[in-house]
Amino acid sequence: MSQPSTDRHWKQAPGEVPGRGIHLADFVPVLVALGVLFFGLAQICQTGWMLFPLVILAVGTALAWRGTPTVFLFSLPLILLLDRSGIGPEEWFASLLEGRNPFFFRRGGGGGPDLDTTNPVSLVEWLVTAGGSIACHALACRHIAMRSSPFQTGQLVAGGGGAGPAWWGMLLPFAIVVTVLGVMIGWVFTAMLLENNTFEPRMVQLIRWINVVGGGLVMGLLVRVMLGLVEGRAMDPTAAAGFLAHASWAEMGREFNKTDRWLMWWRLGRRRQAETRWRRLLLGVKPGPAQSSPAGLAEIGKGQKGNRS
Amino acid sequence: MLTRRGWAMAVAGLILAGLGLINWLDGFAYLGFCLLGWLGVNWVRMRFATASLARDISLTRLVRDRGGVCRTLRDGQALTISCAVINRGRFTLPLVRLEDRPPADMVWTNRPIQKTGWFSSRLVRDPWPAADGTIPPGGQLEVLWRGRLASPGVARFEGARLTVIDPQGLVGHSVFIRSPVEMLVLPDPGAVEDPAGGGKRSNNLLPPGQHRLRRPGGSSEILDVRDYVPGDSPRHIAWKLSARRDRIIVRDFESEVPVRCQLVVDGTRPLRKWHPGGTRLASLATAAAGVLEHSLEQRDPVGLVVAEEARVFIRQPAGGSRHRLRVLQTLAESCASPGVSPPREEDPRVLFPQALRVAREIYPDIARSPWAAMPWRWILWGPPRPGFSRYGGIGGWIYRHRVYTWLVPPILMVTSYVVASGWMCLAVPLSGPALWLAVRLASFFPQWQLRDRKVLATVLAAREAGNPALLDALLEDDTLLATRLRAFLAEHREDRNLVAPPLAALRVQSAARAERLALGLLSAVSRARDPELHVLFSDTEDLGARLDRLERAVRVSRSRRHEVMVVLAPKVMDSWSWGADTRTPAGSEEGRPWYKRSILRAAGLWINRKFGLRKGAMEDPAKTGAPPKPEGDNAVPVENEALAELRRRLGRLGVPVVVGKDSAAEAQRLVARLRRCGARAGAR
Repeated sequence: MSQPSTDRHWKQAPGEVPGRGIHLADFVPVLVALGVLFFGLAQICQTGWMLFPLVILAVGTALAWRGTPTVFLFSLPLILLLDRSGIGPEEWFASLLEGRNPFFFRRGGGGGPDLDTTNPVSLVEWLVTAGGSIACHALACRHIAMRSSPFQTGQLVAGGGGAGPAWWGMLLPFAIVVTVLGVMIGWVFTAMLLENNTFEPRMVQLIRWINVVGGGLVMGLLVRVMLGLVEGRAMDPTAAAGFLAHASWAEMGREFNKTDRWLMWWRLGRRRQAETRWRRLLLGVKPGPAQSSPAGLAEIGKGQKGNRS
Repeated sequence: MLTRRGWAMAVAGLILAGLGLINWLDGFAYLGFCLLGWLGVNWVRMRFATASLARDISLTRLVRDRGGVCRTLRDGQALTISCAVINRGRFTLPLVRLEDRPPADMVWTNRPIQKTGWFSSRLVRDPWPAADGTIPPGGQLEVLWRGRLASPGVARFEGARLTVIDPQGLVGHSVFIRSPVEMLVLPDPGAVEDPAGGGKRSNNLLPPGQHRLRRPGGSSEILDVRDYVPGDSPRHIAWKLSARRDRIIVRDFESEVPVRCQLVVDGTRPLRKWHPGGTRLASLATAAAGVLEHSLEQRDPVGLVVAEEARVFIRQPAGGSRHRLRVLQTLAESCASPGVSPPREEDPRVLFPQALRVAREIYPDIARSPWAAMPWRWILWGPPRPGFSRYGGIGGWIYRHRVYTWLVPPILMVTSYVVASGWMCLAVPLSGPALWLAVRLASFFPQWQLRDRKVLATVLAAREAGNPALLDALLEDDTLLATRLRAFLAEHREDRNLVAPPLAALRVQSAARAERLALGLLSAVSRARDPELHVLFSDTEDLGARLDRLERAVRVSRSRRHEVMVVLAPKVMDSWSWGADTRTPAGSEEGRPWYKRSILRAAGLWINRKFGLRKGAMEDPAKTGAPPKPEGDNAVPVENEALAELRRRLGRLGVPVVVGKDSAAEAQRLVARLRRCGARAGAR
């Protein structure tokens, strides 16, 4: 049972981190992933911008700041772009101090090598970079979740929150490698396929984009079908009844539409007219044994009028 | 469902892939697609792990008081609630938050204080007791919390919400496990007056052996000795003591003849109206429980009559703990019942916010599903159906009469032909789309409300075994929808702060409360054997109508040598000072969805609240120190007049009237005094 002891659960102040200190052993996987990412970025970048995501991730994870993984992810395209300008941070700061335009970049003027599908070394470099990025993000998320509750719905402390299963640590590198390798295989395969034809480089990118997005949609549909089968078998009876009611209603609506609607509205309108007649009748007659209070009758009429729009 | 972190990863991946496309950089695109692929892998894994979550999770709940696990609760009792879920699936749920939904009338006593700060996360307005953790296959997670119930009735524990996210916080899934449990909440009698003070020193009932009581008392216990008073029986003279003291001394025996007491409780709808401290019926039930306890301490049989509009509950007078429990259960059930009300023509939109909140909390798998709501294309392009609602203001009127817009182009065409106007000819083809657009824009809000209506109708139809005809009728009939929504909220015990339904245009029987109370009193009289005590619990609001019937019933009771006493519920002002319930009543400006609020009215309310410009506006009693007047300026004087009239008319018959917050204690004192001083039927 993963429930903390009752006393501990009640006595802790809201928002307080449960008594788990920072252990170096918890930080070691993050350091390893940072090392892998450093190796990859060092191969594909030429300026000092590559250090920024590493620093952000290391400092943010050490401080258990929840926004660290997101900032790290958004810093990746930024530093890759800055690196492609060929201007390092030291040169950029110098130009800032000298009063030159710091936002001027030479597009494609520098930077490291791009992914070359014909060069195995380039493939490995980008594989390591992609795997390192994902591993850094995943381990930072896990480390931060261990130290502060990831839930936004309340302020109670996490009772052993983030204590994931033991096999998760072993499965994670394998899953990351499979993912980046699968994408790379698809990449190389499409490059080989497109190289046999004479397309422009821009068209190659576009075709690859369309193929990947379309393939993703097809895969998503297949997964959704399988999920639908699983969810349908495990569906709550009430929810299933609601779904059937909606489906039957939608089907029925095609058959019984305009004429029945107008007949129903006509009937309701007649009912309303009859009720108005009753009300007038009630207000007009003297109070009988059932309603002895004239004030009550006036209130009835007022209440009914008040609900009319 | 992606979390914020998951969306951030998706956006970052798309940015990288897009940069790669724009700049012809394969590496960027590859990196972006890797991020998107990693997100997809986690999404698929998480979805498969939680696809059968509702089936794989079982919930157990235990409610404990000081004595251990209990099934029947008491008002105001300190309780510890344990809610545990067990994972019977094959997957480990890595990060889980279990939130237990407290009942409507329950106060979470050890609720933590929410911190606010520059970087604090979004605060939840009404958080539920929760615990976080990991649930491996076969493992369990438990949340323990403490609370107490604010008023008698029924406590309904609906279930718990389980939120599961993956270890990286990219994908999350939330499910509500419905496991409704209802427990009776008995009224708490509070401190019972000293029973010795109400000891039956002299019972002015007919002497033993001369009455119709089947089990007369033995009169063997000497309670006291006193001087002789002319009229005392010579049998009770203590001769030895008299000789010793040189004056006649008489022994007082404890009378074991039970004094039967019947509690007649008014259970009509006005008493069920919710006030911030609870209903008046709840306070009356508490007072009745006090009198019950007080009488049972004296070993007197106590009966109960609850008079509602359409029915009367009767518990025959009896004694014993089992009977005591039954009477308390009847009181609690009466407090919990929403009352019988026939379907009434009513605007159902007033009930939408409350019903939607309950539906989204308890039935999220239906209310938040994409198929439950009206499709957006119907809102934008216009549904062929449904749409009948006689409410909705001018927008609703336009929407109901939208079909007449099709008459405009032919009319224009004929007119242009008659008057031979070229401009009018030009207007003919344009008038159709222009009018269609105008109607769409003018009736946008009624169409928007169709989405909410469809969600609620689907939830209600799902609870009726998925009846599509009911779903169709609920979309068309306002009265049916309002009636079903009231029943839905009452079943989930969430009808506390609803606006009252409008009065019926026609009544097949009188709903005058005095008449119903008189009926209850007469039924008690008809079941009486000996001269006994009848205690009426009611309220002065609207009691003036048909008061002659009540007066007549009291006359009948008094003529049969019974004693009658009236206990009235505390006034509204007292009720307001009881609790700190700040829930906004449904139907008020603040309880409405934003698209239904009037900006000017909301601004006026805010200015009134902020600066107190208007006297009698909604003032904060904590700031002003003055008790608010929730029912208008003339509510209290009218109530005082009704009370004076009731006291005057019943006072002539010798019936005391007790009113106020401490009515229970005062009623107990009065009962004790009645017993002690012998102001029973025999003394008349």
